[in-house]
Amino acid sequence: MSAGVSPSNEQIAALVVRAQEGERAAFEALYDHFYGRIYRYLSFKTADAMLAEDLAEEVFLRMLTSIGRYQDRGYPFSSWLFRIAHNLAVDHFRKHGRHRTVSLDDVAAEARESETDLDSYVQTKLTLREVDEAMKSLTDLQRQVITMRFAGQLSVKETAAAMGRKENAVKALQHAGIKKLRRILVHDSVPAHQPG
Amino acid sequence: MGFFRINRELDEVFDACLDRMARGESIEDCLRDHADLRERLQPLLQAAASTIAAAEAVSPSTAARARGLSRLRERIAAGPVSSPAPRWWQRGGVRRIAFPMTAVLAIALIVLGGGSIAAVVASDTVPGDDLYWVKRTKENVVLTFSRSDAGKAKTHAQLAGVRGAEMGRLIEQGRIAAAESHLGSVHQHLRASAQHAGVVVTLNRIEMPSDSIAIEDASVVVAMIFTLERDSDMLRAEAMRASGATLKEQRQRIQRLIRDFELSYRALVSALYPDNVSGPFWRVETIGIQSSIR
Repeated sequence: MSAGVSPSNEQIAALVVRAQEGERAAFEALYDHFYGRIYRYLSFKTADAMLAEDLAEEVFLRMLTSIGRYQDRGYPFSSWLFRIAHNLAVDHFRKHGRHRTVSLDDVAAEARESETDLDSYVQTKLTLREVDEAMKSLTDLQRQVITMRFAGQLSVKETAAAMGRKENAVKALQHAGIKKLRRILVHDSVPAHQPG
Repeated sequence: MGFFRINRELDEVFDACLDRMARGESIEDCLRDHADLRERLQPLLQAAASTIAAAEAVSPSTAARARGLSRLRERIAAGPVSSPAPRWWQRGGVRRIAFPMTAVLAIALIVLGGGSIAAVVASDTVPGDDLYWVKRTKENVVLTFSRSDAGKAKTHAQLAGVRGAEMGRLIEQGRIAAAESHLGSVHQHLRASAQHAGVVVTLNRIEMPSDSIAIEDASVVVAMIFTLERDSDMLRAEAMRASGATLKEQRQRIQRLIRDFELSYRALVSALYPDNVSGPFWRVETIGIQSSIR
């Protein structure tokens, strides 16, 4: 959801075609464009920074070996790539269960090491911790939509394609997920009642 | 009906506002254009903004990004990386019919040809490679054709070694998460081998033992012990060597992997020895195997 100069869908489609022809620069450009989003998505999904790094690396190695089989036909490349990321994470949890080693909090701490505004730094950490906790109360599908939309920065159309669902369903899940998140975030931020 | 219509409208407006926020507009800009929904829209947009802020606070480290890129480059430099784009006959309905036929043909070739070209080419593959399925199919066929329990026990022990070697290659490629996932396959083969050998080895004390059948031929057991000990030593050395080139935190994970791997091997080898004893972390039960060895 961040604003910034990034390649258009047509440019990405052209990069994919060049990558399918084996052009190294095209692979690197795709890596450059998607790495941060894939990592952020996996960080939210796994809540484990180190695991997210490993899985992100694996996603792009899979991209390398499978890109020849990708066909557009209305299915965006980003959805295809996030689908790989999702499957890898699910596969990992199926085999190993969920063991958190480095929390999202630590990721933010590392990312904001150079933050000069202490208030902003503390606020970011608090928000991140709250959101991370609140996400646990969502259903799997709601969490999936919120993670793809906000961490992966996919559009509704891309999210729908990655999840194999209709766009309306994604919008409804997004609405319900955010509503629930808000309820928890607001509830947590209200100070406990002090008797007497 | 009215409730659903309003909710649908809210879904649409909420999503449109998210897009506007992504383009740099403020929450207030959006609320101004949807005054009738302000009361319901505002809290949703605020919660969404918090979530977006939290997501944007997460960034990969420069080192991780560079490491990933360098692995990608290494892999590209190593040779052809991607399977070709699908041809017309691989698309749509034709592919749906053609794929099962191709699979059947490939299996038949593997079974009938034994050392077919595809199987030879696939022998060095690791999970994630295009021809990896050929290798696994060949193994499954071999397992299906192993009739005796002794044969199956031996084959599973050998396949545990193959999985272990793949794990070593994954570590070498820096794919630690993939190597960790792959450890499960090593365990599966060792467990199956134990089961067919007539011993129950479990690292989990509450795990129920499965039905087991003893091997009559002691020489098979001796050969198995030899294979297992050799593979375990070899793979340990390979993994240790590969871990030398990695970062400290990755090294710790690799060492954990090696420990887990060795423990599984040691448990089975101990169970197969005539004077087997339970270790501090595993339990051994024998079902008739002692008499066949002594």
